Amino acid sequence: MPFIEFSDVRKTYRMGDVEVHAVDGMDLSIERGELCVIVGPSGAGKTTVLNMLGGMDTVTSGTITLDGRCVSSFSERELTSYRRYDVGFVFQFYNLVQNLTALENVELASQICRDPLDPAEVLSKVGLADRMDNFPAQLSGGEQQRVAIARAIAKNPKLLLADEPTGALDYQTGKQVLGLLQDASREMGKTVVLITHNQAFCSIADRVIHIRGGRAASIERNASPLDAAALEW
Amino acid sequence: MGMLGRELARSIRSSLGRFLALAGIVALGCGFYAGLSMCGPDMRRSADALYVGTSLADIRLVSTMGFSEEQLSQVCSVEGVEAASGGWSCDVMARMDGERYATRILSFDVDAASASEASDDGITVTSDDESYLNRLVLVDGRWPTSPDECLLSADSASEGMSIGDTVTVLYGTSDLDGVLVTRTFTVVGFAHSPRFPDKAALGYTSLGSGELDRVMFVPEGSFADGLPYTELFVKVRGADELFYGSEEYEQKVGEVEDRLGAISDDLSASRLAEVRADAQDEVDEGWASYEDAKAEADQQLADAKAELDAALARLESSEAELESGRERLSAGYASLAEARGDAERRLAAARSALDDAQAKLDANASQLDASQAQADAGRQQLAQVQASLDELAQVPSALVQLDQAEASLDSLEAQRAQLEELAATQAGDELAQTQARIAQTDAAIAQLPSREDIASQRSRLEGALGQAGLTDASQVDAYVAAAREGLASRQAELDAADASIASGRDALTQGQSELDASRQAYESQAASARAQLDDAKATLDEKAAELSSGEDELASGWAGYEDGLATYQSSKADAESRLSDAAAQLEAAQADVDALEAPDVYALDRSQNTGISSYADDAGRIDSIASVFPLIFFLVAALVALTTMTRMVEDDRVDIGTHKALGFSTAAIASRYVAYALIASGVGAVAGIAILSQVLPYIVHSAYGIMYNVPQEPMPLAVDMGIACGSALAGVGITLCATWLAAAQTMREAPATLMLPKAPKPGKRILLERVGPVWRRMSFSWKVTMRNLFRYKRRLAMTVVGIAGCTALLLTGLGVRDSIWDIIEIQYEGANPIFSFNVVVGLDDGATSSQLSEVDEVLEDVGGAEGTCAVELDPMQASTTGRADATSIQVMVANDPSELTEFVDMRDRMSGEAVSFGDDSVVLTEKVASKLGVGVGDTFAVYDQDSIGNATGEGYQLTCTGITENYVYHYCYVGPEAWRKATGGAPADNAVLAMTDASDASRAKLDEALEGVGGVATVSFNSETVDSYRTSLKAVDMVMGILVVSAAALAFIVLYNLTNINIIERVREIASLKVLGFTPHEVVAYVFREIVVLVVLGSAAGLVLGTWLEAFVVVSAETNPVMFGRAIHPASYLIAFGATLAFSLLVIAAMVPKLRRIDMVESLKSVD
Repeated sequence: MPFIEFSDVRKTYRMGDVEVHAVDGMDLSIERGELCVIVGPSGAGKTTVLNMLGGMDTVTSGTITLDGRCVSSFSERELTSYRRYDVGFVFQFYNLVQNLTALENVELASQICRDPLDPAEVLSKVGLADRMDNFPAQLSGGEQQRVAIARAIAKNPKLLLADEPTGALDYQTGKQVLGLLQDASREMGKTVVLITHNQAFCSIADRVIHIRGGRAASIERNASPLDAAALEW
Repeated sequence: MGMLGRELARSIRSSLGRFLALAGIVALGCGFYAGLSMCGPDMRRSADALYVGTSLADIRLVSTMGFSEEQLSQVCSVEGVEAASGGWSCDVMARMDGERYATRILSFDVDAASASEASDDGITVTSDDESYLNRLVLVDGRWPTSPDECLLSADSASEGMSIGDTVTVLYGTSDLDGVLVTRTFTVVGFAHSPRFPDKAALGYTSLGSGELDRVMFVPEGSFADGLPYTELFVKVRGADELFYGSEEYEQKVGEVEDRLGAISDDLSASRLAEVRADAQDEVDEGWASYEDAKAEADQQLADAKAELDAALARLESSEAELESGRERLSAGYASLAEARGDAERRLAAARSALDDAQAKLDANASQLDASQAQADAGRQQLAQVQASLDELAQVPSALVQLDQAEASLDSLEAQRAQLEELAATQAGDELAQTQARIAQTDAAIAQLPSREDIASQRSRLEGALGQAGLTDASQVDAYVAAAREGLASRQAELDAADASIASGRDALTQGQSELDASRQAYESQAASARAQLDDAKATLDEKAAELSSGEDELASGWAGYEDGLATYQSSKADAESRLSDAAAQLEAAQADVDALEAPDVYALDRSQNTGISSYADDAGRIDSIASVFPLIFFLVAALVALTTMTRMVEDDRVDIGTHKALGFSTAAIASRYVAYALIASGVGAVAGIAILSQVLPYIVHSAYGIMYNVPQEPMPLAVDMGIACGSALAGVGITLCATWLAAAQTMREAPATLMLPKAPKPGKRILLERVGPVWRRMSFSWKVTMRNLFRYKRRLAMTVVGIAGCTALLLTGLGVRDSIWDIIEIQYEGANPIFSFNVVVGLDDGATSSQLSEVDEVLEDVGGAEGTCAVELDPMQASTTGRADATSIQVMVANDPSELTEFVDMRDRMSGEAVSFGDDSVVLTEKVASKLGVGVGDTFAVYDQDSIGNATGEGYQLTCTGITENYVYHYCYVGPEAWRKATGGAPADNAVLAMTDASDASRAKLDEALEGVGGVATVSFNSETVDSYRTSLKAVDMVMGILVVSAAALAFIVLYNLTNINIIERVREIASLKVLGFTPHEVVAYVFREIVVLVVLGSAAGLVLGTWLEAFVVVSAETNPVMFGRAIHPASYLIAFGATLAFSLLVIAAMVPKLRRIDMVESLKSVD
């Protein structure tokens, strides 16, 4: 049984009289410890998939299971604790709390978890040992995103979700960030789901899922993924 | 601009909450300012409408001698006087509903009043009679029709009275006999008078506690005929058209006042002339009646004198008669004595003749007796001779016998001698025989005469013989015979003498009987002569008795006369002294008349009316409060506008950049926000002003309606366009300024920068982080909260100011309530009140100590008082700068300072420490001390006051030794020694303080019992004062309503705005937190903790601000004789704080759903 499984998941938004099928019969599965890249053009339903997988949105129909639990049938309260204990999220725009230092931002997340990693250690791991006491405004975009990844990892979640984590970053920084996520998967054994429109990222993934029109167009396993550092786009 | 217009409409629609918040705060600010500012003018306008509508006199004239028609017409002819009328008034103590009240009785024109018609709202009274001033508004009942009917003022002052009740006038400030025609009035109705707009403060009087309790209106006929007007009322021409209190009005009335002032000397002189003429008439009349009385008295005295003189004459003639009678009598007695002498002489002569004859007879008789005696002596001699002859004849035989006896004796003795011889020889029987024989012999011897006897017998016998010249016995016979013959002749001679004596005796007896007969005749003659004389004497004695009774009569006549004379003299003296007294009085009266000084005439305008001025003062107080309160709202409005518009502008960064890039001018772009702000603030200002300029004056007026009889004008109230426009301009202006400030900052940036997302405001370390231990202990949410607080300073300011305003408003309301409550609690009713007495019994001047102790008894027995305190309580005037600007003060002088301190707790307000009060102490109450500027050790003067309340005399210097907490009225407590030093006199007790049973029933009972005690002038209970403060509490409660609502509105708008901005600004952050798995509860806490902290900060600031604001309001609202409590109760702080917190929680509760609705998807959106 796969770690994550979508079976016939649909998500329909109602906009006035028009029904928009953002996800329309999605079936996919991801194994534990994989770095999975979900790739597709804008409007293909990537973010919706991420939202539903991250417990931020509910399905209209179908089921999502994670580690044997049916996430799609969770109540609001269950979803909250699901997000809290099982999911780490890396945003495109980092979403750090501006009024907390780097370390505090990590601690903010770790303090609500059951079994968090040491925030300072995690920050060192992402290469920010020297910037821990800086406020987000004092950090560069890449640094901020690394703080965000540290924040997600420190929660020690089962699943790490990243939504265009390099979207606001330059090439080099982006690669560093991707490297971190790949390390999380390879070294820490986290299941990492990365959403991007950038086809280039597929080469570093263990599994690549192409989405088009709200469906999984193809699911490929990548037998020999590239190191992120070697990636070029 | 079409585009801009559409955008504007859209942005308003899309941010309706923000728009409304902005409009709301501007509405509150402008409305509050306009509304509060219009309260004062509205009150003044209502008053003006009432004064005009009821034709309230503009000027009232009073004079120390009253006025007559003469002065009235003089006043009427003054230029600018439209109408004038006279009226009567007097202050009395009257009994109503069992209690006594200081009552002012005022006359009114019943005919004009009956013909007048009052409007339903009680503002206007229409009358054809132009000179009917101070028109009454009949509220209930009917107009009086007879002099013993009255109206009472229709407000709380008349509580307990209803139509048909009786008012009994007890006594007045002066003798009421010449003032009122009746002493009992029947209440037939209730009326408002514009002269008494204040329901409680009716004015001052010299009766009772010094304040008027009630007002009563009676027909003019209830006042005595010919009584001079006590006051004149003047209506100034054209003054009605001018607003009362305006400068124009003051000027107009002032002019007439000046003109009246100019003729006041004339008025005074003409009044003086009248009064003098009247008084002179009276004096002259007095003289006339004096002369009459004198004449009558003289006449009576003269009559009495004549009577007395006649009596004297009569007495004198009687005396003369008596004198002649006495002379005659004594002549009678003299002739009687003469006659008696004659008679006695004659009788004596006759008697002596008789006595001579008797003497002769007696001489003859004694001759006869001598002869008789000679004869008898001769007879005796004869008998003796005879006897001696017979004896002599015996002698011879006697001698023989003696011889014999001698012989026998010899023999016997011889015999015995023998026997003795024998015996001497013998013995035994023989001797015994012999001796017996001797004894026989002795016995025989003893039977014989003794030898001596025989010898004496013999010598005698021989003597007899010797006498007869015989020598021998034998011669005897012869001799006897011869002698016997001589004797017989001698006998014959004697018998012849006897015969002649017997014949002499016969002749004598005859003479004696002849003499006795003549003596008898003499005796009868003498008796008859004497009887005649005695008769004559009796007649004379009778006369004498008559004479002496005449004398008695005369004496009593004299006595009567003397009495009469004494009576006459005393009544003459009496009459003279009475007359001279009367003359002295008349002269004094004349002197008084001569000394009459021109009366003082005062022209008093309306501002000198207690009620009218206190109403005007209250309106002024509202003005001053209106100048402070709205500041808070304006400040908050400015801050709200600033934050709101800043947020709005920042939200639109990219838009602005786009517009700029598209070539729109800065002004055009900014105009969108300015227009937005203009519309929001404009709508708010108009709505706020429109609503609050009606509501606030309405509520304030209603609150004051509890204390004043000034009816409100009908709704809608006039809006003062000046104030309204000013307020609106201020509100809109502030908002626009804030908007411009917010927009200008952003507009200056280059379009390119604007297109980029604005870097979030960087996080900053705050001071608190330096305090390691505290900071480390804080959770992240707290750290974020603390950092956020200092990150957005405008919001901090806005929220703190707004919440502070909210708390301050609440605290002010509660504090003012506390202040008034404190008056009741601290002064009278609390656990440790300043006054431990609830009744003051005032006594007449010169009440005796027995009356005092009787009052004590009644207070203790009927009132249940435990102990009383007698003091001298004088309403006086105090000043440090002379009597011109003196202030009223109650001077309480205690004979026993320690007794007074049991009833008055003297203590320092701040420290609570006791202020010592001893013999030398002078303790002032706090407010008057600060008013006079007197501290401990400073000197001030107290003055006596006249009936109008002006200071008179030179005053008494006192040195303040202490200042004590006090809230109602001004007191000066003086120790006896200090009083003596200041005035030179001892305190004269004229009031008694006591704590009695306070229930209504026992009060009435006590009042009744005290009325029976002589010398009791007033009985005043504190509860009356307490009640009036409870009334003002009600007014404050109404104002509290406004304060609570506006405070809540303030809190709501500020907090809504703040949370709104906070949430909008931090949507991403909140969404992120949600994504991170924060529970809804944690998210709410994370966001609102900041608001709660701000609220607590703001509230704390509000408590400080409120304390200051409350002090301002309290000082503004205080009236002269009252000091409000200065301390706000801890509970009020708690309530203000708690209520603010509660408002905030309400807002938070309202905002929570909004927080819930934030979609986590927001976190994924780009920053734009």
